[in-house]
Amino acid sequence: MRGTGQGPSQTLTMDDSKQAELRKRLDRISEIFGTMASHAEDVSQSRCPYRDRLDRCTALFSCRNQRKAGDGETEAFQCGHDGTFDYRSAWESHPLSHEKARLRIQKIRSEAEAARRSPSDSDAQE
Amino acid sequence: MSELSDITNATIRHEIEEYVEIQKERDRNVELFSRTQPLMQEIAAALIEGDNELVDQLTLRALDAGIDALEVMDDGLIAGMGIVGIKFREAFIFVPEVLSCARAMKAGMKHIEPILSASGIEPLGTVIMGTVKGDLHDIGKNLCIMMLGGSGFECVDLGVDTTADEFIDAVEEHQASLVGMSALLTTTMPYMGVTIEAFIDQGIRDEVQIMVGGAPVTEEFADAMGADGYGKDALECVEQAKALLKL
Repeated sequence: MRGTGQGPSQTLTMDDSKQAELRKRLDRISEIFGTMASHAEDVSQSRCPYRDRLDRCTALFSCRNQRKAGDGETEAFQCGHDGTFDYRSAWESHPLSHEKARLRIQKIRSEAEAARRSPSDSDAQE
Repeated sequence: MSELSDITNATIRHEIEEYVEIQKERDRNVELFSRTQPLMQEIAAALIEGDNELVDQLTLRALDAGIDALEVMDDGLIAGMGIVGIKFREAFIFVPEVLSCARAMKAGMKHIEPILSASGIEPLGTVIMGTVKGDLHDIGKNLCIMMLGGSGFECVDLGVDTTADEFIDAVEEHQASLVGMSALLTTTMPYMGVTIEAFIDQGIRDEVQIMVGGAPVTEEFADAMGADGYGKDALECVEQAKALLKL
């Protein structure tokens, strides 16, 4: 063991070496999380990221693979998929959907700009 | 050389016995935990179980008892997260469990932050994070929050289905200089544009950097909606955040 600290007073003053030691720990945490985030990307190619270790669905939204495990109303959904798919392809956008989204964004921006140019006109339209 | 039986905490013994299969890692963890205080083992066990309330209480208790912050980080929080990392790599647990453990880590780190500040280590910046209105997908955003938090940013999580007003209110309340918006659907992605326009209408667009991400979002879309940055995953999100704040 490294031994105990200086009690509550440890928050008051610290030298540079302590700061360096703390920074080392923060870097280590960042490194651990970075490895995990990178692994999460890989794992998600073959398993839905919302599916937990007990195959329960943790998503806040509906999915066609959700299955009730029992009769209980409060019971969590189970994932009914065999789990061997790249979930991201299910969410990949159709080119037409992308185009629609692009046009929608254009419209949002041009309407907002027009409204800013003549606020009284847009008020009147409302 | 230490033995598994030298570890006092039953949960930690079980975790190592059951999930740490590579001998070198097993030896390292047995060595580590067998020399740590029971309270540090408790913190690590609570973190592995994703019990953020217990990690919160135990970390506070440890610091109040005068245990050094470095020891709490090394032997409690980081040691516990090390086991979580191994379990994730070996497919004993998955993304939802990792995110629970990351939240538990954050609960413990909350008590370390004043000590970091006292040593001159301040958060890199405050980031407001949310999935946009109409969208309930949160894994990508949560991974970004995990990464940002682990990289030294203070994160305010607005959750899912977040309106433009909620983003604006949070920026003003927390004096944040960075906003991260996520969307997973082409139907909800345009709401990022609505939110950016709302920032302009409020007259605070120049005071905040806005980054966007999510499966259908591309650099081109980010530009089209007037965002300042785009990240395709959690790692890029951190790079973007640092670049936007010129860190």
